Amino acid sequence: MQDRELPGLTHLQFLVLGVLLSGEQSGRTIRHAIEEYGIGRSAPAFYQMMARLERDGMVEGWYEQVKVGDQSVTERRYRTTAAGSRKWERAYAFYEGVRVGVTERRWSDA
Amino acid sequence: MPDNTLEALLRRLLPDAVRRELFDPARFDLHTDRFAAGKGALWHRWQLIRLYAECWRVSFIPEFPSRPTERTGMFVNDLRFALRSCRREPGFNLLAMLTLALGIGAMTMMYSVIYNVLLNPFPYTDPRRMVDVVFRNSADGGIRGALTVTEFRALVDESRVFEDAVGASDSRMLYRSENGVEQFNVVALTPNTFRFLGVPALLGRAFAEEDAIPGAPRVAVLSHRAWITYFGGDPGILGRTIALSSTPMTVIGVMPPRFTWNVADVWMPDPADRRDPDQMKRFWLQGRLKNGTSQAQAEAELNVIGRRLAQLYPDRYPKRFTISIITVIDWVVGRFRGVLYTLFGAVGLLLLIACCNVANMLLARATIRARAHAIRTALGATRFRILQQSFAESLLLAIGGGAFGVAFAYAGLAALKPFIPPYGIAKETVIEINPSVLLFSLAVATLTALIFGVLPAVRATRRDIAVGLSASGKGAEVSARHGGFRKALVVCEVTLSLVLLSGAGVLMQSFLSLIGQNLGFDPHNLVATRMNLLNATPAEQQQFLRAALDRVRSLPGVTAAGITTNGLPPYGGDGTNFDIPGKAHTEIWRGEVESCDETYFQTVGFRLLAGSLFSPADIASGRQVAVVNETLRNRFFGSEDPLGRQIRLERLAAGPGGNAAATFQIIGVVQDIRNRGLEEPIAPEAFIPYTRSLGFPRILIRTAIDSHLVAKTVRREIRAVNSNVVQRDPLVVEDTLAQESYARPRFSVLLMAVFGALGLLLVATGVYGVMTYVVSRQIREIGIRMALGAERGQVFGWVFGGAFRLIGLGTLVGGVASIATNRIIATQVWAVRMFDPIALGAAVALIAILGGVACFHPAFRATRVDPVVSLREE
Repeated sequence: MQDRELPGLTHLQFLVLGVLLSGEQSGRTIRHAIEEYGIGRSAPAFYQMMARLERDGMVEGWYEQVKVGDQSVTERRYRTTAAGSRKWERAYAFYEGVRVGVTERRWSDA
Repeated sequence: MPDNTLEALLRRLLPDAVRRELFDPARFDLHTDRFAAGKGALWHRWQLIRLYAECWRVSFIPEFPSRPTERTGMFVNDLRFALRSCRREPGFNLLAMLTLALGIGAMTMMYSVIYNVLLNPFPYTDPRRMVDVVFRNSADGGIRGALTVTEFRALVDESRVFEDAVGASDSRMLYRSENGVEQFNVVALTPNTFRFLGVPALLGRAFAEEDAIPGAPRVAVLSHRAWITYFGGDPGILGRTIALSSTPMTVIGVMPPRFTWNVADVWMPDPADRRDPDQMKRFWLQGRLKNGTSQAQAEAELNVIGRRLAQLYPDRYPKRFTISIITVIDWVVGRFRGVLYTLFGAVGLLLLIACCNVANMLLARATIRARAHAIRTALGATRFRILQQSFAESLLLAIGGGAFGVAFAYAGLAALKPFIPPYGIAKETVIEINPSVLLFSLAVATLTALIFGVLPAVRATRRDIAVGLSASGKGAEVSARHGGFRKALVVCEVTLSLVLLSGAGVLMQSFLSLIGQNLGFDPHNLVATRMNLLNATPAEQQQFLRAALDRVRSLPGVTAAGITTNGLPPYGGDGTNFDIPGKAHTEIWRGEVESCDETYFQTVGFRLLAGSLFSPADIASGRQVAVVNETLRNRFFGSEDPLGRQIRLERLAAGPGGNAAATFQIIGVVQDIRNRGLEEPIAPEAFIPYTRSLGFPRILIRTAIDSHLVAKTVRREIRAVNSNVVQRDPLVVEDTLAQESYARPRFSVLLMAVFGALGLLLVATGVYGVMTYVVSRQIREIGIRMALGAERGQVFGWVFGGAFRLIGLGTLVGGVASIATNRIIATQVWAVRMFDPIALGAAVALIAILGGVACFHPAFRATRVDPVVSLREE
């Protein structure tokens, strides 16, 4: 059945959750990924958004040590929660429903 | 500083949530970026600082909602909301706008005066880099701006400090019209002057280099005033030949009204050539400094040239002198600059008082809206959103206030213009509200919106939601928290108002001292008129003057008349160095010499202290006798008797007769009268018969009736004696004093008094508003007190005392601030003490009285509270 409820996600949140659907990612990678869609955000602004997603229970974040060359650095990593995945699926279904409904149905005043 | 330390330090300076959620993950990314891209420590530190700044920015102005247009749209919505709010509360908003308009209007008005008088007074190209060059005598500080052609050429041709330089040499020439003979102020300009000033002619053309070539036809450019006054504004004047002192010249152009360079009627070209046979010609030098050349650098280079000139012509220069440069604006505006900046400071205070008042009003509204804010916050509105909405409302108020303010400024300027001292500003100045001034007003309005609007909003939103929700309009807690801030604003207002009022008091005291001082003569009913007879020998001149004097004396209402050639009280004669044979002195003795006839003393009102005045025979024969003033006697003779002693006036030694013609025998001593204006001390002065040095004579007339009536007939009577006479319009000494000496202090006093009164009015309304509000919030408390047995008198005293404590505190702080600011004002005005207890006391008393009146009604209202009703309502 077509989901007619408006999605409770902003476009940016939709995009971030979409990036995380393929698996856990570092914050830095997510930032670079959304930059490819023309959305440039400063690091603090980006992490402010991620913190809100965490608070809303849509993603989980933790720190991890990784190697860059011969240096050991810390990075913040994220993955979607079940709630986050559900919300993304619902938003996707909404947009898909709109796409199908709007393009395939014949609209008339009657 | 090592990276780790810097990072740790910046980290510590952030709020906990920002540090944890924003800074930490971002700084780790920075490490990764650094190592991945192989960046150095310097790059890392710079990025860290940027990151830190960005964290603060983001924490104050969140990036989300993420759609960029959304925030703009919200602000537009906020503005719409603010407009609706304006319509809902028209009285409140109009009052706030008018309060702000007072401050913004006064600020705009003063800024337009400052902009047009100080910053951009001339219509010329780049006037701020234009300077005058003067020789300064180190011994007596005297300055000389009129340079010989040799000096002018040396300073212009041999220095590298000027981008361009021009010279001007003024002289008087006579023009015979159908209505008689007129004296024109003719200024010879170096031919590059019009290019230098960059102002095109209104009609025809200005002259250029080719017009100054020897043998070129003589040409003249007319001032707009001369064109209108003497040629009826006839455009056919171009190409016509006019004769000035019998020299024919062709008019080639007319300049626009604002072009009044050197206050000339006519300009003509002069190349200021060293080969000019007229060795008496003197030029004023004005140059435009090269970009990047400082005043000190320019002076250093010009002084090298000056010293070389002194070596070549040692007898022409004092032993010690320097060449100084003074900007053209400073030359004209002089001490008026300080007065204007003082007044600008005063309007700044007025604007702050207005801001405090409006902030108080907004705080009261914020308290009333506390519950609405709390509900919005509970529903998820961020603090930023609420602040943004408050700012939109404030901005709307400020724009309204700014619009009213500009209207006030227009009206204020129209009212102010007649009081602007004519002698303190450049003749070219046009005081008006122009785009620069409007831009300034816009900036002031926006700034005030930030000051008065955001501060109360920040306070209003810093509240616990629970308290806000429970406040429900009664909120004792809310009232208590805001009460302190509101009271602080009242204290600020009283402080600022006291500073304004005591400043006005200081200026008033200076003005009263100035107009109340003893001039030594009665300036009322005194008329002076200048004249000269064309092509007359000295004997014919004397004969004419005697005849003119007799005719003037026979006019009804004239009680006395005398002749002088160079004095017009309270100004004496020309400056000269003195010598008294037999008296050695190392320093230069300097004073004034004035030529007059025997009836001059009686006309002005000099009192004879010793010896005698001139006799008619002394004047007729041009005897070398002198009368001196008290100051000269006391300074140069001390307890000795000056009568019968000789005095040498160096100024006359340069003329025909040399030293012998410059030595006079003292025959009398007269009482001092002011001879260097009202603000300078009296100078030593010697009076000699006018027949010794016949200049451009002036008849001084004492009248028994209104001197303006006599002034109207004098010109006609003198022309009746000889139609070849050249006359200037008669001057009424009282009017000249008012324009030249009293106009500037009167202008300052007037403005300060108006600003002080407005400040006082704002304070009174501010105190009244706060006290009314405080009483309305404390109805319950007053009710309980009365229920517990408090008398009405006690309640009155409690409320009134509370308000007066605020006024007292403001007065205390304001008193200290006034003492500091009055010291600054005292340096700008004449004859006031650094600390004036009378002015300060009067200001305190005024504020106390008005504050008392403002507190009375709220306190009285408190005594009318019915405890039963108030407790039931609560």
